[in-house]
Amino acid sequence: MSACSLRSRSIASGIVSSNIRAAAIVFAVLALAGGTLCPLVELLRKAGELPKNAAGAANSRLDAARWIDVAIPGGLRALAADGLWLKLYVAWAARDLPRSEMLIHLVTMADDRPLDFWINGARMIAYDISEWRLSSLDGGRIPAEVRRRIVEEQACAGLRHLEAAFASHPDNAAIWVEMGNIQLYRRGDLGLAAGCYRHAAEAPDAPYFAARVYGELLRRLGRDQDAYDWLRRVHARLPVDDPAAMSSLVLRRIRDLERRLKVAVQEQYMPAEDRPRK
Amino acid sequence: MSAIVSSAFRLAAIAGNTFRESVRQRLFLILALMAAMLGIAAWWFRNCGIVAPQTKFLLDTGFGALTFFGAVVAIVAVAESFSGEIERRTVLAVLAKPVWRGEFVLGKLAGILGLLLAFCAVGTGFLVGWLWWSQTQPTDPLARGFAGAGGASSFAVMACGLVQWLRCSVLAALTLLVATYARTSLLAVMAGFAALAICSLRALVWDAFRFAGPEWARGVAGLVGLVVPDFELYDVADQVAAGGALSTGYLVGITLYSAIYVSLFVALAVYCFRHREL
Repeated sequence: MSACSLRSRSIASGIVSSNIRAAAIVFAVLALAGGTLCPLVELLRKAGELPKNAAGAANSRLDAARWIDVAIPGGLRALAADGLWLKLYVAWAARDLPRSEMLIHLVTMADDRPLDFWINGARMIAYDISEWRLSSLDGGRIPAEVRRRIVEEQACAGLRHLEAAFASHPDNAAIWVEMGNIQLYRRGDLGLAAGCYRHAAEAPDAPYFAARVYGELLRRLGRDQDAYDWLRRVHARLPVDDPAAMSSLVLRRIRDLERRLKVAVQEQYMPAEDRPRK
Repeated sequence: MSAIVSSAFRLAAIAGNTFRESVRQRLFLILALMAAMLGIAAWWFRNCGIVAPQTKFLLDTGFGALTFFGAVVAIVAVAESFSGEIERRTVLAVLAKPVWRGEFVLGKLAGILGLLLAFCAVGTGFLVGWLWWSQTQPTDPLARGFAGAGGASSFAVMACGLVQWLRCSVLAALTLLVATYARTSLLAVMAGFAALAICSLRALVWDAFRFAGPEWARGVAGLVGLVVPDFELYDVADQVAAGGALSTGYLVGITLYSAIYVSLFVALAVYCFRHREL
């Protein structure tokens, strides 16, 4: 081997070993810094009200949604989701089932913040798509069992879609109400529907009607005493001057239940405004 | 003392030259134009936000453009300005003068940070101006029904613009570190975008650290999670667009976090560049 080739080999190996040394130093310094900065990262997550680090999170999203977060940075998600929603409307108007289903999920993956995307998507899955599937079969001559199974399948798919919404909107009353509607009108399960409405009524942003509907469902389930106790508690908290609260309607239902339950006059419910002042 | 002053002058000269060169680049002008066009398009289509009120729609789009185009500018400007000089051999002419390699690296980064500051300041200025204008207009009673409509404050928007600049600065410093190692500017650009993806998906890396099966996979995920900065900490645009504010603690913390990473990346870039064969 010539002296020239030996020299060039030693230079090349020197460059390689110097590069490897530099890379090792870079990695070591950054790893040390990363480890040291971990408490600061957790403090920043708390101060910025950001989601908890995945290492401590209960609902870490190991799915495609994170990749979409990278592909569509920051606020461009809103714009992309709006575009996808328009495409969904086109597919929905054309009764294009696979495309509609795909776009319903894609919209919420692109932007999971607007509640309307979740709720309207679930309605499409539970109501519209089941009707499309039924009409694609043989018109009105479908056996009742097949009809029931298709409606059940789509209702469950709609419910799963709404359950996924809780990851970004924890304990939201509107989602519970929609789940209750699907349980009631598509599955006809009064017990589960009542459970959903109860959750909705107890959520922080609960609409007044959720508590009324829960009371009515208890009555329809034959649990008159439970309905009576519930409505008494609800009415005591309702504002009299807000028409949306429909305080007088709740009171009428309480009176109906008192008649059915044959509640003694002295034990009947007395609204706060009618109570004698001390 | 005079050595420090003359070093600062040299550094300022390199920074100023880098800033001017970058601003004159066609790519920067195209990116700035595209960001402006996106802003104007969002302005025109602000009534087309399907589920979001006007303010939120425009802020979402504006911050999205700032994040996306800011990241592209940070990566491309560093690669073009630093690796491009090495490729064109113009760096040899600079280093032949009494200029230290550390001054060259620092000057380049300072020029790029100035460019990013100008980019983010113009974008944020546009958003603040629009917000101020919209607050002087009579409000639509229907729009008030939407959550977070018109709730964003100018201060929060400016703070968010600062956070986006900090993110771009960390990314620019990271790309600079890669560029001191990379042999071509194309490789630096590709590595910069890969680094952006990894930093944005750091939470996913931590998930892998928690859930990966084999020990070696957990080790690799843990190491990567430690080495890269967490870009999810900068994702506060959603919060600001929805009318939220950024706490002083968060702003101080994120500035400190970014300063630490920028300093580390620069120190390592200087170390790598000093050991590099030109």
